[in-house]
Amino acid sequence: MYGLINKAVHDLVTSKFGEAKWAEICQKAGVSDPNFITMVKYPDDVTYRLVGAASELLNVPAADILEAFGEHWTVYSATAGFGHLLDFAGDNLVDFLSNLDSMHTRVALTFPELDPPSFRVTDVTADSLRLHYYSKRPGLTPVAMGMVKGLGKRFKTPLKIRLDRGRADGHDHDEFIVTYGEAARA
Amino acid sequence: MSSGLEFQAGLVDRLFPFHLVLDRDLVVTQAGPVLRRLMPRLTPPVPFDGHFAVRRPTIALDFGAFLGEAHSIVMLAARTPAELVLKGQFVPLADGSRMAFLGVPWITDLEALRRLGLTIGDFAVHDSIPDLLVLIQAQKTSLDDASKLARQLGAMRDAAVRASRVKSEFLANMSHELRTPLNAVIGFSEMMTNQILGPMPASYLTYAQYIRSSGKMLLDLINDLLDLSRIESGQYELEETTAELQPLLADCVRLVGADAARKKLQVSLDAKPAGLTLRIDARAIQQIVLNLLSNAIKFTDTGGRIEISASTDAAGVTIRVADSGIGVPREMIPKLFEPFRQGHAVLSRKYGGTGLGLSICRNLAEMHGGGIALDSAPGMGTTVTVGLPPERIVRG
Repeated sequence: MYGLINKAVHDLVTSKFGEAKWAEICQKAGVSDPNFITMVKYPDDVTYRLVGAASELLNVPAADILEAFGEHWTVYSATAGFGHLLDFAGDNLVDFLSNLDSMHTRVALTFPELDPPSFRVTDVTADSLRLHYYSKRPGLTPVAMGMVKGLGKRFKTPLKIRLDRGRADGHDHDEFIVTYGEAARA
Repeated sequence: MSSGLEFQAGLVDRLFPFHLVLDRDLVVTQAGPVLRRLMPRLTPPVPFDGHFAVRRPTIALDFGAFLGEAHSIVMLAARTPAELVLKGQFVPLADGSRMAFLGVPWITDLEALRRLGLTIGDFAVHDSIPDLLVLIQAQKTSLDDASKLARQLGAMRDAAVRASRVKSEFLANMSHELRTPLNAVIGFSEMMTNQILGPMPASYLTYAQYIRSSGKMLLDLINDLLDLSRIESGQYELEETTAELQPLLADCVRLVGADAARKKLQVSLDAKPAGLTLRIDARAIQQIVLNLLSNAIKFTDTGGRIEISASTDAAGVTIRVADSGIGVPREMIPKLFEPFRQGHAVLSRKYGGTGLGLSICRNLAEMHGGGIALDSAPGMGTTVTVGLPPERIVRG
């Protein structure tokens, strides 16, 4: 994964627990140089190790950390210089999610090593949609859920998300039901 | 001949969401849906020049002139919003009485996307402008990263330089403060050792000798520290004079003579050519040679041999101190020139010394524009070579 992801993990941890805890996590994860460069590719293993170490040292389940990371990602990527690209993907939840795959494909064309996940939107109604999430990386379902929650905050749209079926059930991808607007308040 | 490329109705809008169709009078008869959204007053039919200006190339406002540029890249500037610039080309349509302008917004400033209200869905799939924007954003981020890292490195370097300077000043001050009382310790213990005020009990005499030798060792360490700190802080300046090398080396041999005699070492001197005169800081060169001789004596067992020689060639002057001593493993050699390093911790305890000598020698040689090299192997002795550049030769 590109350094941007690891920098977002760093930002999430330090914003809540401080630099000292981050240093401890890096040490436990065996990451000797935690000065990640945004557009440099790092082995996926580095990110997994950081999350594993954070889970252990903060005594928080890894899935919760991943979901918190997904939610933080939408905020962090906007502040880390990619705000305009986020704007470019759409100015409301449904448009954004519908355009997300095109955006990821454009990014993958420019950075072939990035290998971003794929998102499809189907069954769009006035208050819900089905989000299909395809990823070659295991265990990141909570990240996608957190990211959608983060987008709800970005667009000030109340929403609920639940995993309808997923890779854990032997499916080839995850499918979420996203309910938004008044329906989400119910 | 027809190309056979015929689009379904509505497909043109999806493939070219920023297109225009002009008639012979340069009236816009059709415009792409996204372009119409960006330019609400563009409601065909409207005159082309009321809404656009051809920024490049410079051509007449004429149907034929436009078609004459069918193979050129064309830049159209919208009158409102002024920020909107389209790049594309004029294309004749089959009926011969109309032409199309097929283009896309030319955007290199990501902020402009927001101002214009464009999103990724407004661009045709084949359009590379969004890819360009991704690339621009990534490069901008990389540059921001690089400048941030450069700033961090600069700050770290400044802090390191400051810390080094403070350390050197501290060492210089401390060394000076320590040296003054040590002179009293050494001087009075020497008086006691020589029993100037009368005989002393044997054990007291031994203690006085310990005080004197320990004091001298401490003074050597302080002097070395003082030299090194002056060199590192840039306060050590060479006092260059013209000096004949052979007498200088002979003085050094004489100064270490007593120590060499105690260990029954054979010391030989061979300096050529006779009368070789150099422009050097004589005290610094003497300090180098004395240090090398002192090491040679220290690390050569009783009855061994030490040879000091000097010669010249096209590369300059070479001063060589070779001994038949214990030697050091090759992998240790680079470390010997680092401050506080000796060949081995055990050696350090056995032979004493500050571990600063070779570092000082290297610095002093380099300040003369020269260098120092050491060749050794365990049990095979050690040869240290000091080189000085030919510019240092005044005569010889």
